Amino acid sequence: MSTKLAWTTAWIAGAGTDLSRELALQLARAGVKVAVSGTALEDAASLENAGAKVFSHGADDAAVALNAAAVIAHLGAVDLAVFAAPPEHAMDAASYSGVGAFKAMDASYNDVLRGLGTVMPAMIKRGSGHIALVASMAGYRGFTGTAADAPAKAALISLTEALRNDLARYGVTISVINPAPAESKRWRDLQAVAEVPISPADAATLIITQLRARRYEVAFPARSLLNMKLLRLMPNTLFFWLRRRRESRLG
Amino acid sequence: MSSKLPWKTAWITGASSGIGRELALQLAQAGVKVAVSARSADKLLDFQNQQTNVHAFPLDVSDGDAVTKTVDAINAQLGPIDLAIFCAAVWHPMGAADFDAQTAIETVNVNYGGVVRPLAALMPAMMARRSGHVAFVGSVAALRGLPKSVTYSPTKAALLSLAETLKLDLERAGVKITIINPGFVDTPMVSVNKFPMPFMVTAPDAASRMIAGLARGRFEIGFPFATFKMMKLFRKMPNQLYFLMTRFMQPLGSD
Repeated sequence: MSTKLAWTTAWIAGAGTDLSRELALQLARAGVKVAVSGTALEDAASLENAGAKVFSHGADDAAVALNAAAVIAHLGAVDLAVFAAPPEHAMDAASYSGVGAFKAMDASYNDVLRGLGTVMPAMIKRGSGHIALVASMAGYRGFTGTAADAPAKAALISLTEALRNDLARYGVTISVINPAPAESKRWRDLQAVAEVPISPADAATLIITQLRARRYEVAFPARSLLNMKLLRLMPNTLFFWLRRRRESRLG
Repeated sequence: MSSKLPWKTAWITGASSGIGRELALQLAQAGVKVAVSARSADKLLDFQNQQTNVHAFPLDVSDGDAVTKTVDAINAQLGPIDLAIFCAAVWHPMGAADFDAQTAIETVNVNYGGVVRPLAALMPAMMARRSGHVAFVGSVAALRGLPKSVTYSPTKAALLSLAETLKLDLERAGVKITIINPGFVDTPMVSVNKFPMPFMVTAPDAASRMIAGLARGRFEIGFPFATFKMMKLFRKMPNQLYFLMTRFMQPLGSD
């Protein structure tokens, strides 16, 4: 990141994945005051070395709330708040679990609601700020085997749609980041296109560039995106017909 | 409703009022044995006393253990559940300025949790006997996040996505799944709305459309026509165009 970024402070919440680590590192290296929060954060030292402050916390609601307060106290006004996505879990009809499905929703979606509650009111009040939610392309259309994750991602996308115009009136920007579910080999197999997944470092650079341009939707890689958008555009009967064929080939 | 409906035993959640109650009533009148669930035991017992074929099973859908026990009780008393329609839902109008995380989480607990728990309790038996039909009542608000619908649209989008993810698995196991996306229906739920509700349909009309669509085994049921098609169009148009159009709708949604 060469030229100056639009943000003085940034909070990367739920930073358990390679992508969110990279985001934190790149923002910190570009001179942004970065706070990183999450449970079980690995390799906090390298984040701290890059200048980011790490706030590790327990999984219960009270710990999350306390931690958010500490982050805000550290950063002052939060210019950019990124809510990262937790790791993915495969679940289909045979392995379906009410507890598991609800847990996935709580970790992916309810935690974002809790986080929004801590930063959004202040941003609205001062009439500036940028919120970015990491969802996933899995939220565009539901694929077999994504029964726990895809609904949470669809909820996140819907949430940003519902908030976008309201926030714009108050001078606050909201973005949704939709990567292809990189971890899931099964998901990649289910795609009609073969594509090399983008590296976390490249993904972070792309995200920062597009957020800087205040893009609403940041989605990548390109071929997966085109594929998923087409699937979303088509009628259900055609969508399921294509999926049925694909899945029967995979066996 | 003729007596040609393909189900013997149905289970309806959120059945003490609104669409759920109307669905139960019409199914019961058509000769289906209907187990009705909701939190309010009094309302359900009144309903049971007024209508033959209606059987009260009071339940809080956010209580996982109670859900499993209720499913077992229905299967034992009324026979295997052929059709389950999950209607339990809450609606709290909310925008960015009055955002409250706790209210949004409570909405998830009922609107999404109220589906995943009963679904998990039902699906294995249906898949094992290779028959049955589950239906979620979503909303046209699932198709795009709408202004004022910050708590509600995401939960309904999640249900639409969930139905898509399960469709082919269930089909291969001989089980049907349906997502029902109605527009405005005249029920107690929408009585709080201070904005115009175009093309609103009555609850009896909504219920009979749903039953007709379910009997045909449709994956997605959406109505009224104008609202459903408009929201489908919104879903398919580019984001920037959608946001531009809803900006002009926004004054309708402000209070």
